Amino acid sequence: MRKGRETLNNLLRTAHRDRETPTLPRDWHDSVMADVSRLGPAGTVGELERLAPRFALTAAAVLVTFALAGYWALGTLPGDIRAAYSTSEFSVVMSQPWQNL
Amino acid sequence: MAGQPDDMSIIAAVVGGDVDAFGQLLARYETAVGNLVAAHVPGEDVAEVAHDAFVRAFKALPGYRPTAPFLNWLTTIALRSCHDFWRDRYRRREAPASDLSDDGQRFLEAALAANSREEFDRLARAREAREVLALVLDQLAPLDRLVLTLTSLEERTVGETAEMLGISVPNVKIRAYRARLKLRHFLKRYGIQGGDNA
Repeated sequence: MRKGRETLNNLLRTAHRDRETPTLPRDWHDSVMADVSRLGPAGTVGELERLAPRFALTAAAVLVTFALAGYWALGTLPGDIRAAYSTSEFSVVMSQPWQNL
Repeated sequence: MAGQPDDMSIIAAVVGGDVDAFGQLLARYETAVGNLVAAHVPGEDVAEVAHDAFVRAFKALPGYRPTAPFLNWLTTIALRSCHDFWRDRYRRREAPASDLSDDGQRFLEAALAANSREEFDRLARAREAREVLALVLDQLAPLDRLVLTLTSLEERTVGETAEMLGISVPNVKIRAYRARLKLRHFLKRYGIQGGDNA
């Protein structure tokens, strides 16, 4: 069993060691530099990426604040509408009592 | 090396806005990164993954602190690119990792039963051996396959592996153990003993 383990290890190690290591294409260097140049100065990219979580956090905080304010301002609105509607309906009924006769 | 600026002065120039200076870092480390990536992804994908690693390094350059050599930092980034390559590859894979074919199984049995060193070496250098290796690694999660490649196939220490991957030593140990266990079960399915320490 131990011999089997070692043999298998050797087999996989040899296969790994003997794999082909391709050389990078001739235009590879230029294509990386072209991409990097498109990104602009490294400091700017890094700075924006560093600040990205803060932007996301700020946006989330603003969203939550607006949602709470909206709930606070409009939370009772459906009840108010229902109450107003019922009251006006009642007033209409009471103001035309002869129609119920 | 006279006249060659050191890594830190090039990095300072790049971070200061001299994008072209990055070309010097690229020329200095492209072979090292290419070889490292070639150990973890298929040959036809090496250029693309190495490309991705250098673009990531460029973006992250302002965050580099010279507490460790630049190559160590670059190695961690390159391995992260390899990890993401496998994660994307697995995600796009329509069928689960394939099983060992009858030929592959016969090959493995023959290699394990080889009577002489010469016969074993001949079998280990065969195309089938690389196919078996690829299939065996395909059974593992992306990070687990990197851990197993570094610890078992390249015989790096747990500490080195942890540093290269930017994860903790216990995390490496757990992943290496889990990977070996999975391989043992995989090989046992074919009645092949010996996956314990693969």
